[in-house]
Amino acid sequence: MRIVEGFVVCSVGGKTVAVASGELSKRFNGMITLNGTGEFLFEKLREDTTEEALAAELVREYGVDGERASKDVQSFLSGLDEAGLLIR
Amino acid sequence: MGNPSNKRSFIDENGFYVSTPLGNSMFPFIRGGEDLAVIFPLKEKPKKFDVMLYERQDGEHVLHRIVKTAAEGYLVRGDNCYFEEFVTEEQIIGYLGKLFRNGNTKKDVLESGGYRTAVRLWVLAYPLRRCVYAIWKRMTRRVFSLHRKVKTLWEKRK
Repeated sequence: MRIVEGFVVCSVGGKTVAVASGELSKRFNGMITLNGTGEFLFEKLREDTTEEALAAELVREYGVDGERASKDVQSFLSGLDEAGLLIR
Repeated sequence: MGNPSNKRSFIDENGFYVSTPLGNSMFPFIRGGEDLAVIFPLKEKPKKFDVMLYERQDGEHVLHRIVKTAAEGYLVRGDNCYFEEFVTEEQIIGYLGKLFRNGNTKKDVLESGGYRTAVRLWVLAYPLRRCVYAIWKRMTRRVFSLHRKVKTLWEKRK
């Protein structure tokens, strides 16, 4: 699973957002606001990965427990999935 | 996450809005589908040459440049358009504060002196551009008309 291609991540006023550009902007003309972990997961999703691998990365990077990491990853992925931005 | 349906409330809440403008009405200064436009809420009265994001009466959101200011509002025009619109301050959602090109979010194109000069020259040269455009349109219309006539004659001969 990975994120569709065409997102540009930028920081404005201390906030980070991912904005669709190029061909992608024709079907998703909006942006995704990202917090610290969101940005981390978003960058990991630029390459093929799995839900479990993402949770493990979160545990390693932020030292959170496995259960919370899994919940965070699930919630993040479901948002992307609803918007049709994940390639599985 | 997702498409903020109400840009105005998003800007009010977050202090900015970023998107990829669609269409070519602002070409060559904003490349539709390529550039990233960062919109900020108005802090002061907009000036000539500023680019505004505003809402038309039908709800459509448009990013065009102010070409004239008036007491009651602003005359705006797309850099690649040959018509103006009158916009009131209430219609304005925000102004173009940053413009990123080619995925480079470190360099704001609007900061470039060359870009600002080119914008001014482009706007000031509008009467000339409009004249050239009118001649070009008339010429292409004539060429098409001639082409149609030749085609009809050719078909009649057959």
